[in-house]
Amino acid sequence: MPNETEQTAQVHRLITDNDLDRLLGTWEAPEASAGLLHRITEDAAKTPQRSAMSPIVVPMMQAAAVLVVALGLGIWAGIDAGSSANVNTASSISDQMANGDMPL
Amino acid sequence: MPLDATLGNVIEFERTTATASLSMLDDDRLMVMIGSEDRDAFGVLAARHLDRCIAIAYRTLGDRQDAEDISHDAMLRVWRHAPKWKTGGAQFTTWLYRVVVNLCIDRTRRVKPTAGEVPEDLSDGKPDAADTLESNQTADQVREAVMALPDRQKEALVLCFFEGVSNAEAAEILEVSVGALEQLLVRARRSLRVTLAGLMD
Repeated sequence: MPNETEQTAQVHRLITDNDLDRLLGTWEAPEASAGLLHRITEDAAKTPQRSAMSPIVVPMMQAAAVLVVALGLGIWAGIDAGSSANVNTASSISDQMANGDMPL
Repeated sequence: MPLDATLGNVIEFERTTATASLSMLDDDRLMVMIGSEDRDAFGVLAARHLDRCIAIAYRTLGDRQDAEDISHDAMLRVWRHAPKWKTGGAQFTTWLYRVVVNLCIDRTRRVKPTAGEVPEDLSDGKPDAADTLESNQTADQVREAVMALPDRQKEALVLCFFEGVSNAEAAEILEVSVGALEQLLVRARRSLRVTLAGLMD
């Protein structure tokens, strides 16, 4: 059992707690101003969402995409160079024939 | 009734019904839909939590405009983060309030409050009742007393007292133990009892 002094202190604390709660309750917070919600939804529509993929996977996929493009360009360049070489060969043969030389 | 008007009414009815049915969904489900860029779901979720975000930010920073900016940024984070949201994990409000609190902390670090700053008047300016004025003055003193608290005590008080968040959830939001949170609350209330003693007589 708490003694009289402790009881008084407890009662006093309860009263001051209630008073404090009442005082704190006088401070009201504002509500959202008109148009804020609309502004938020409009801004969200212009904001890209984050990918659900892991931040490690995304750069790896980007690197893979670059590699594929580079490889594609390399193959294309190789084919182009090959066909140019064929053209050169053909033109040199026709040059030789024009000069009266028969290719062996 | 012209056909256009009837069609318009039908579309409006469908939109209202869709929004009403969305508002019945819980936060987790809405987050999944937002993750698929569902703007209507985002509108419903933002409308549901916006005032609470503003209240937390306002009582932490003491400035209405800052509170609205913080809430705006927090909601855009909800939008951006939605595709990565994991259902059944953390409670949505815990995550959202943590975002708001962290944005407030960032703002406080960037802009230190000016001493003797004039408190913001949220009254509607009607000069009709003396008791309204007295009530506003009391609220201003409460506001100043809460603003003068150390940041962590203030955040704990805002979440637990003003927003009615449970101690366990508030501890999770502030990333402290429940015991530490309760200590923050005890200290905050002790300080406020001293600061506001004049108003309690």
